[in-house]
Parts: sequence; structure tokens; C-alpha cells
Amino acid sequence: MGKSKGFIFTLDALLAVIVLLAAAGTYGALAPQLEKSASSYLLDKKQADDFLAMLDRSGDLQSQNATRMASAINSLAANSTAWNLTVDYYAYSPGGGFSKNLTVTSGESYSQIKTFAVSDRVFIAVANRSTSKYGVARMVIWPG
Amino acid sequence: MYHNHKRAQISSIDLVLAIIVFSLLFVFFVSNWSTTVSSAKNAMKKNRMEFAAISATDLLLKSPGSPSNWEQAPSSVQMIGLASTPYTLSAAKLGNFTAMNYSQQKDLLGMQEQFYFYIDNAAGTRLYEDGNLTVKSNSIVSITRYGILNGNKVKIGMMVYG
Repeated sequence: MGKSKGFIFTLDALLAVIVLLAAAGTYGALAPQLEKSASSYLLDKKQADDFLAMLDRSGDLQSQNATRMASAINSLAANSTAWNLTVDYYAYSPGGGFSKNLTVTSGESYSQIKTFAVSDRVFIAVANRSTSKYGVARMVIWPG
Repeated sequence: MYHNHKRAQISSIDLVLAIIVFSLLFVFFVSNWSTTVSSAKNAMKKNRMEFAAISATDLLLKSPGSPSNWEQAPSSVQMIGLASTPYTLSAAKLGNFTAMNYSQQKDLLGMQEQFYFYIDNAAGTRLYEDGNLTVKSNSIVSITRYGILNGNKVKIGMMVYG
């Protein structure tokens, strides 16, 4: 009878401590999340969109020149922004469809980066009033 | 009888220990509650200002406004936009926007907070600036977007505070 009561008290206290520790752990895990900005990823994505549109409008994407593209981005990007740009160029033939003939890459590697924002843009280059190149550009941005 | 006393003593120590642990955790929660609530409020306010800044710069950078030729009759503007085509800013629209008074700019941007807006070229020279930079606040959000003005690449900055 006595042993049985002691067992119940111990189990009760143990359960209470487990519940409280679980609550404390949840609080400790979630509290730092409050400090994080929910919109920083969105801003990175928007900035990647901006850069690709700007490079397209200025003719930098069509140049196939990695140094020119990197220079254009670095002239404006904040020092706290890290980026990678990959541009694939395609030729089109009516009978054969699209075939990739060049890939240009610039910026830093992001293979070890876990969180980043990505933007893609499809573009064309026009020469003599006809499309001379087709391209797909992908820009990746993350906090540097 | 002796055994009963010992059992009761163990149970009391157990209870006291549980109360001490509970009390420590309770004090920890209570003392951190106000800090946590304050942090959550600040984070929500900051997020709201960041979204306002992103929405406003989206509007300025991508939309021509309504009517699309509003710069020819600035008083007719119903929706603001500074782009002749998306990401290419119109100097005429920009000039007319910066000539508006601050409250009209705020209304057109749908801003509840105060804002300051600027455009810098790649060399860092400030080409345009407008808005209110006189209010001092601890809550400031600053974002940068990118576009083209007069054939040159530019930075569009928006600071929102309140």
C-alpha cells in the first residue's frame, strides 16, 4: 500500500517535470525564430529577379561574357550579398529543335549553402530583326 | 508505524523537489514573458514594414501606373508607377513623382508608415531622393532594388520607418 503511494507520487512528479521541460524546450527553440525576418527570403528573390531583368534589358545576358555580367552585378550588389549566375545558351533549328551550345557561370559556389533564393529568366537575343540566341538564366542569392 | 513515517518523509522531499523545479521554471517563464511578447511585436512590425517597402518598390519599378501616361497630367494619376516598361524607369514619371507632396506620395504608395526613397547610380551618386527623413525612429527597414534609368543601371532604395 505504502510502496504503491510512493510510486504514484514519483511518477506524478516525473511527468510534471517532463511536461515542464518539454514546454521550456519548445520555448527555447521557438523564441529565437521571433527575431528572424520572414521577408528576407522574399527580398533576396526579388533582388535576383531585378538583377536578371536588368542584365536582360542592358544586353549583358546576351553578351555571353561572364566578366561583363559579374561586373554589372558587383557594381550594384551590397557587400553582404553573395550570388551565383548560370546562363545556358541554346541554338534553334526548325528541324532539330533547341540544342544547348554554351553555359556561362559566374559568382560564388553555393553547393554548401543551405538557404538561398533562386530566380530564373528566359531571354532571347535579336540580330537583324530575328532571334539569334535563346537563353535561360538562373541567379541564386544568399546572405554573404 | 516507523515505515509509514519514512514513506511520508520521502514523499514530502519528492513534493518539495517538484515544487522547487516547478517554481524555477515558472519564474523563468514569467520573467521572459514580457521580453518575448515585446520581441514578437517588434518582429511583426518589422515584417509589416519590410512587406510595405517591397510592395512599394514593386509598384514603382514594374508598373507604368494608371493611366499609363499619367506623367502628362500628374493630377490624373490613380495608381502610381514609374516604369516605362518593367524594370526600366521613366525619368518623366520620376520627376513628376518627386514633385508631388509627401502625403500624396504616401497615399499613392499605400504607406501607413513614413518613408524615404532614393535612386543611386552604380558610382553611388544620388540621382533622386524624396520622402521624409526627419522623423527619428528605432524601427527602420531599408531595402534595395535594381533597375535601369536613362540606359544606366541604378539602385532604388526605400527606407520605411514608424
